[in-house]
Amino acid sequence: MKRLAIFLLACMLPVSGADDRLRVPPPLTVDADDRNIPEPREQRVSELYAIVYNSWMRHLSPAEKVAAVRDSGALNVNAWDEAPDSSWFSNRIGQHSLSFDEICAGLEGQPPETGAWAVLRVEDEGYTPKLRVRDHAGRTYVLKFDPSTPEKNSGAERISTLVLHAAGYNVPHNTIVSFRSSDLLLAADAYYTDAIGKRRPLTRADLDTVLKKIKPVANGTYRGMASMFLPGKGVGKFKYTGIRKDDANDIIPHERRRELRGLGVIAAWINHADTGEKNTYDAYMTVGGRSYLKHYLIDFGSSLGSGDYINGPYRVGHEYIFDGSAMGRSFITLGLWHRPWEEHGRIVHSEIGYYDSELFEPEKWKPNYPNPAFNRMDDADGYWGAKIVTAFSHEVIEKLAQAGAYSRSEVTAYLANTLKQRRDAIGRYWLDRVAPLEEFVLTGGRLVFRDLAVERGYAPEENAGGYRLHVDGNKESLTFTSQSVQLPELNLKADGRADRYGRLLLARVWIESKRRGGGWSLPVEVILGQTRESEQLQVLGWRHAVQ
Amino acid sequence: MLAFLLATHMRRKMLLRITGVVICNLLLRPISPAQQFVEEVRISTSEEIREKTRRPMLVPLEVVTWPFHKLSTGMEHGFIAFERHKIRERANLWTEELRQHGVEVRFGGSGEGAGFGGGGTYTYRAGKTNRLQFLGLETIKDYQEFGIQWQSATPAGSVIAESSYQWRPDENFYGLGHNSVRAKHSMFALRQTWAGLRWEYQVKRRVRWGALYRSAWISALPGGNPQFSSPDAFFSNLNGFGTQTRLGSAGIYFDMNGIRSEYQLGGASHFGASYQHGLGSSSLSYFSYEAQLEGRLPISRESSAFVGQANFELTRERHDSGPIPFYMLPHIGGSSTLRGFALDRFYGRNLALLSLEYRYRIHPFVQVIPFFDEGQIFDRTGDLSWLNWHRNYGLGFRFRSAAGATFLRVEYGRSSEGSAIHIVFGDRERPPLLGPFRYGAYKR
Repeated sequence: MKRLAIFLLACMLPVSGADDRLRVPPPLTVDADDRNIPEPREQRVSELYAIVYNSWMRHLSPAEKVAAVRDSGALNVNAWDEAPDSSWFSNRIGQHSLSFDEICAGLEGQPPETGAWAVLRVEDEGYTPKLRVRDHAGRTYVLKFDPSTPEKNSGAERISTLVLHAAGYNVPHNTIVSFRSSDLLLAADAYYTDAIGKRRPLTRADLDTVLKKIKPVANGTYRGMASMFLPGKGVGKFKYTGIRKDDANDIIPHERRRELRGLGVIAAWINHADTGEKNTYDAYMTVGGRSYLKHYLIDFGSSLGSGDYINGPYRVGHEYIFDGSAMGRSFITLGLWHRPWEEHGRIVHSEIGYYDSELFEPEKWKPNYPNPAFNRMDDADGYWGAKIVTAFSHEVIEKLAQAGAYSRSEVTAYLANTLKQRRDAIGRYWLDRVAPLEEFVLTGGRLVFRDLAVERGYAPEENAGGYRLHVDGNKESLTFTSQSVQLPELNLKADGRADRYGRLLLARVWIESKRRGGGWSLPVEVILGQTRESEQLQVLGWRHAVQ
Repeated sequence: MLAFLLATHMRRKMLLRITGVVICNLLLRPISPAQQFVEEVRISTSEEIREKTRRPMLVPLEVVTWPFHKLSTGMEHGFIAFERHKIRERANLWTEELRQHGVEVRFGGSGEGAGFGGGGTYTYRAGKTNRLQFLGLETIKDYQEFGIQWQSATPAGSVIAESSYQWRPDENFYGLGHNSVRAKHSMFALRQTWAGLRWEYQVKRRVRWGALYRSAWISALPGGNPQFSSPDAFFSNLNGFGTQTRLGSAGIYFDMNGIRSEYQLGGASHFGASYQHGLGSSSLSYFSYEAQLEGRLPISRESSAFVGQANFELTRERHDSGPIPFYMLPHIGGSSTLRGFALDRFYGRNLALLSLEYRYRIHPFVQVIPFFDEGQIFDRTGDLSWLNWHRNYGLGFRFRSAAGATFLRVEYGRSSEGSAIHIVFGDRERPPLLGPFRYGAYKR
């Protein structure tokens, strides 16, 4: 029995070994995960379970330990270290600049038409009631309201919707609307759902009672958030781990998806701590004769520090609801260690909630409870997320803040300022930690590239443009200052065959950039070789933060 | 190798089946031409994913993780069903509906040593100032309590008429005095019925005083637990055992509560005195005096404080008094008093109890409490010795709800008699010191 136990334990140990092969992922900008599949069953998730499992139980799982140790990075990355377009994500601001109008125009759906709306359903089961309404054009929306402070949640949801859409995620069309009680008409089959899900026909008195719970704005109108119904048929939620077994397109474990791992950085920017599975949505839709699943992020009303949490607002983003490390630190120090946010956290404007830049540390940001995909985020994923965040220009951020439609201009100004400061904190950290070099091209023996830190103003001034190049098989390094370098002699490895994309991988070089305060960043590995079309040595792809 | 090892522990047929399934599923699954075509435009093929996510020696790992996997998936299904059927919302709704009808359901612990139980109260309100309340509780250890209380608030104070019946089948007794022996652990059952009248006057928001009179019928019987002897097996002629005592008790008390919050500077005190006299054939005649003091000294703002507590209970018989029944005497030991000792470990005429805790918060819902308690049982005031304490130290965790109420305490105490672990639902409360009826409240 003892031998059996030793054998089993030995089997569980991860196998490691040096891998010196040249590898570059496929040169695909689109991952065709939209092939026809039969309709999957509805997948339900439990937030309570997610909290319990991710806060405590996962530490006891041997399978998770082994998988985490063997995690060699995101799996859905292409030759240029990007996540290709898929049913999960579409490259937008990270690939090409977008104006605020283009961001708004790109949202899937339309705002509701003004005029009378037919109330289909009242759900009085959440924190605040929700109305389901239909406009003249026949489009259906869910109307949500600000539960505690006017403008807080609706403003946050509108802004975060635009941010996440611009970043590339699938989100619903969320618009801030205002209406009067008289704009709401009862549909013939309207019904009311109470706290335990019981239904009964909706009456005008029910509707008036519900509206009494909502604080109207000064001129007697109500402000709400209209969230357009997503297309297709809802088949439940997606999880941040594993795959959906009844979706043949879903072959990449979700915790290994670049866009889910890197979402942690974008969520940190907008303090979207409520990123649990309950705020996801899988829609089974038919497009061009193919039926497949499209994956959405929903419900951003708690972002920008707008969530009302039982253990105070200042924890949000700094600590999990049950944070073992913080509790352990308090325990060991006999309660004398004070959480910095308890001492210095402050809410400047009640319309925004706890959203500041002074205590924000991008690498330490935490959602409400551990997210399996965020936990697996490595430096390459973090850099990918930062690349998207820093692509938001000053102008776009100012327009985003205005999109919150806050009645006080100082609130808008504070928000814009804080968004910029948090963006810059993310940029300073990730674009310094990882060599922020992109778009490598080899012309006439010179390797030319872009430095995002220089372009976006995060490069340390004292070391601007300091780079170091290593060639595979050569111990010596070459330092240079401009964003191009003449390559030294390469050790070409012409031992392989062309891969299925006709690429012959021949050599690799690594480039680091100088860090703020000295030292070198995590390098970019650039793979050189030939293609089917040309025998000339060229750049086939690159990977960031190669350890 | 694996097959050989497993074969020694599993049936051959089962082994073959598992091996077959694993091979078919993991190694030999064919890829259809259509799938192959599609995967050419996928960022990764199924084979690449399988290779990159492959775990070494998959079968043993799966075997090892099977129980955990089953546990976690079972839990997940349970939580999903809980949320899907809105159990929490239904419970809240029903609770609220019952409360509107005056009914309050109680679940959870029912006092130290009484075991897990439940019950409820029904309150009838007549106007804003009159209230009639019925109480019924029962635990899995067969502890029972039924009570009725009528309260009327007047400008001159509250008048409370109340009555209580309790059946406590498993009470500990180790003998009388400071040096009682742990090996003489016996158990007895206590049946207590009393009825009385109380008048309470709130002088200020934090100051009140009151007076009361109670008439009680109490009897101690052999315990129901066959693993422990009855007290008369160890202690012959134990006063009050096997007989019923009838007595009346008149007393006054004075309370001040200056504790504003958990970690703020403050203090509280309680002083009480009562006179007991036997009724019927009983010749009891004695005074009881009690004092309870508590002080809080904050150490770190809103997160830690020292809490010191002191309790004194004195019994003074009149010269013509008959012997006091043993269960009417003060006693200590257990989660509310000496946490390193067994429940009700020491009985005696007088007691002094000191307790020092350092309470600190590690989470809004979790408090850690290193503590030190010492207590002494003594016959006469002159016997009180500063060198003769029963001492213990330990560590406790207190779990609180979002509303701030303590719902669970876990405490580990260490004393000269070894270790004691207490898992108690509810807060650490000394019994309300309203005369010598130790069992005047269900929780203690």
